[in-house]
Amino acid sequence: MPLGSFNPHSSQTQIITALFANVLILSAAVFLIVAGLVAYAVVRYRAEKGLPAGETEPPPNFGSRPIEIAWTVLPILILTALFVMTVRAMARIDAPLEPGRAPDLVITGHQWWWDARYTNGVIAPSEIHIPASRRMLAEIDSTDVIHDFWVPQLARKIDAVPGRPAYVWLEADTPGTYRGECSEFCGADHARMHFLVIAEPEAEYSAWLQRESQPARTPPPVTFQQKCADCHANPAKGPDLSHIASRQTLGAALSPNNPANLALWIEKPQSVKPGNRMPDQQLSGSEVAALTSWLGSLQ
Amino acid sequence: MTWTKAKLGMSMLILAESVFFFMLILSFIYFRSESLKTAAATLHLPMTSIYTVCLLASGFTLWRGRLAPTIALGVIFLLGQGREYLALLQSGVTMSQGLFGTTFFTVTGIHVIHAALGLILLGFVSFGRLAAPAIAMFWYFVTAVWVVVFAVVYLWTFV
Amino acid sequence: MSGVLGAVDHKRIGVLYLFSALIFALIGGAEAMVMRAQLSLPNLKLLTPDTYNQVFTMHGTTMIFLVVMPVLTGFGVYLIPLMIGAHDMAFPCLSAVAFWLHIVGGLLLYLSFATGNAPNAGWFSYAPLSEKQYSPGPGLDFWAVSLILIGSGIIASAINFIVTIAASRTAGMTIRRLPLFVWMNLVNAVMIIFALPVLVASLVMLLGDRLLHARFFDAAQGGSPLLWQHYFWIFGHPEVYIMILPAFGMISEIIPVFSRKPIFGYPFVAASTLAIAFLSYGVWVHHMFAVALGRTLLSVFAAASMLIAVPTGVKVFNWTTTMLGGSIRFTTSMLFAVAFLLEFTIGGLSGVAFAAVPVDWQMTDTYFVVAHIHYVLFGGTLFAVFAGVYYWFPKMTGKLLDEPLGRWHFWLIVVGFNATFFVQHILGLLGMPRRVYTYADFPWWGPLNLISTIGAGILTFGVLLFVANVLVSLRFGAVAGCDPWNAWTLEWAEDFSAVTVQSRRPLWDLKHPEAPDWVPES
Repeated sequence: MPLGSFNPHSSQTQIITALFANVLILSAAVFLIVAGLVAYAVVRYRAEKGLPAGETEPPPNFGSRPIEIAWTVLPILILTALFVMTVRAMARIDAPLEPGRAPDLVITGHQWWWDARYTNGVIAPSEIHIPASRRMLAEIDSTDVIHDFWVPQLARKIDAVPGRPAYVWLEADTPGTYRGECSEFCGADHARMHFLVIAEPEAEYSAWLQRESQPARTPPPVTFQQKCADCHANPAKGPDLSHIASRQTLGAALSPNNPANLALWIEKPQSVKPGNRMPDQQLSGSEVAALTSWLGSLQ
Repeated sequence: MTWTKAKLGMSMLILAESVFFFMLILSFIYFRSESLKTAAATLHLPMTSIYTVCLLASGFTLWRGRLAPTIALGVIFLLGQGREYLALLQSGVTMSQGLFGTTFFTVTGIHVIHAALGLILLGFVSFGRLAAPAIAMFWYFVTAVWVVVFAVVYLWTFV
Repeated sequence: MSGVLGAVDHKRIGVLYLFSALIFALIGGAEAMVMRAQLSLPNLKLLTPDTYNQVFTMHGTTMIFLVVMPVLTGFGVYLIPLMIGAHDMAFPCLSAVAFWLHIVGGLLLYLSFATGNAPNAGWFSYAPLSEKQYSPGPGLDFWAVSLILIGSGIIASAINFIVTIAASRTAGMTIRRLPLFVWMNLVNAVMIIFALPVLVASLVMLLGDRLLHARFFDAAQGGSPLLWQHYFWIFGHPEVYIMILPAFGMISEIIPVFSRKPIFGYPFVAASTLAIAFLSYGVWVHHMFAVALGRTLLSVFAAASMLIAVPTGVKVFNWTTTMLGGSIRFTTSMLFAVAFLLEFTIGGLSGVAFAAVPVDWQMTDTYFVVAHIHYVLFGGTLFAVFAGVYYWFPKMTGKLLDEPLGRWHFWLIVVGFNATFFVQHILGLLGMPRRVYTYADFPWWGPLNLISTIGAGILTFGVLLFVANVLVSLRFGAVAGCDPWNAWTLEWAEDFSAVTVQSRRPLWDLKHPEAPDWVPES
């Protein structure tokens, strides 16, 4: 998120920032004209100090048709230019689905986390890796309510409407970690539905994808099967945990991923992210330790 | 027609109600393709046509200034609607059955409420409590809305 | 008490509306302060997420339906008969019915807090979030039912306005001589007839889904969440113009009187009102630009949304030009009217930014849009309302509001308002979404939010000072004559039935028989 729209890192967000700059200049000009006229009127045409009774009434001026036409036509011309700029920018940014082209990524919003499913079957919750300088076609879906996928430095925002997939180009001009937010009010934890887009050089991206597609090396402890698998084995109900140890963050890019935070999340998720769908389950100390240790091994 | 305040006010109310009904009927049309099968299987065009004629007749009798037959015909229409609802509910078509149930009961149900309200108002008129011309406008409106609903929901399903 | 419950005359009903709007404004303002407190610093935990979500929903719903709409209605009910030379509204009992519908609706809405579950899905409650499955408590049922009641009251009062203006004008008061306040209220009332029933239909459908298991908006059952958005915004966009047109009417009365010049371009101000009314029904999709609806559809609505800026601009230019060549008296009323011009221009320009669709693709649903709506609704409508209160208070009470207190009120509001909301443009550009109960410590988010909260505190002082001014002046205010501002429209006449109406400024003609507005037959 740092500096959001002020710091675009993709061709589409640069187009948007440039368009906004034009809008800003236009707006500033209009405002200065209006404010200037108002200031002039306020200073120049202030009533003489005196009693209302002795006021001289200035001569009335009921209007002027040429002036009205001028300040109707001129704005129309300016707005026409803005409209042309708008339509051109839309064409360069928009990502309509070409027939026969499958998306590279399917990004799904849930209450309250995002995940990305890659063509090789990898499911990556909350931290979406992409190759830098190659654009990916992302399909945006939702399993429940309307969310909005927004990573301001990289892409336009787009609503995730259940039952109605949408498409957006996801691209970054330099490697880096870019923050995203959900941008359509979606319930209790809308404010904590963050995600990261991690753009990496091609080689590192492929290596990551490879690692993610490996199955977990150690079997889960019994507690996991009893208390966690109901949700977490179902990608629609809970974030996929197969490679949780390789993630930088927990709780939808909420807190840093370290053993202490992981243990706290497992034991008391409601204290970390009140209102989220993972209940506090009254686990014993040893259960928490076992889960923390196993999850911590899932690179 | 001479415009009185009451008639002007009623026209504005009718305008607002028309917008209201328009949006509900639009939703029926929007979901029509998903509703068509159930509609064709469960609606009874002949029976409903009879009750429709009764309602239209009530508009005619009102125009002739005959309140009692108007109210009687209106009541027959409502009874007919009630009969139709019963039949639908018994064959499993409820509000929650699917898009047909949802849109059918909403559109016709809201109309039934307006028809009932219209009959009550006509009752007040017959007791000399309300201005007849403005209330008559409301009843014509209720009839006109039904013509549209009948066309969109029934005729368009079968014809 | 029977003076309240039994009131049907337009003056008492008007004052009742204003009083009720003030109470709800204080409540809505308190809700805003609670939000700003929670947002003053990153990661605060003053409120739980769900409480915050209830508060922002109630704040929006209250301000729109229980403050702005009623205050504008109240001014209309009070002033329109006076301005057109009528003795009361066409249907006085309907005035009362409309008022009490809105009170019952408002009380019902607030009753939801007692259930521990006030509505919490935002003032426009998008589906599927608003469905029972995702909002299980009764909060949204309260919300929908109360808005149906309030909406019905609004429609009833609009019918009353139309019939009154159509049928109760005094001799000589032709449509073309109507004070612009009356004209704008007439156009507004027609807009209400075409917009509010759409809201009622949408709410009926939502209640059907929630209470009777209907399928309108439930994607999982074949329904369409987008249908809710279309339906709501087909109401919602005209609604925002409904919330500003009467304010435009007030400004159109106030600026000329304190500039000592008739309004510049009356026919164009009147015609541009019609243009806005028509165009406002053709722009609603701009609230949905972030939905993948296809470039063609979005471009059409972008064009319409840009076009609607033109008639609004025409008004701003006409008001400004009215002041040029005048002899301007800076009463508190005029201060607010002039500030309105600047604040509303900013709000309008930020709106045009959204019409440039790719800008919307970054800025919608962020604090940039929160800034926009508050610049037009607060800097616009509410500033005009303050101007209107200072202007018409002497007509309603026979007393003048205190001018020195008024100056303090004005400057506290201007400083507080801009401090609160200008920085929110920047927060939106920095990536802060709207409707978030808290935020992380990103660069500049904390300091800007803190400025915004401090600004809100200053605003609170300003509003409290305003209330104090009203109370003090009711008791101790200087006695005003029937025409303290030397104005020109019929409401200021001692006895309007004694005034011949031959132009748009009947009292000017009376006071200046040597130079009347109307052209004598020669």
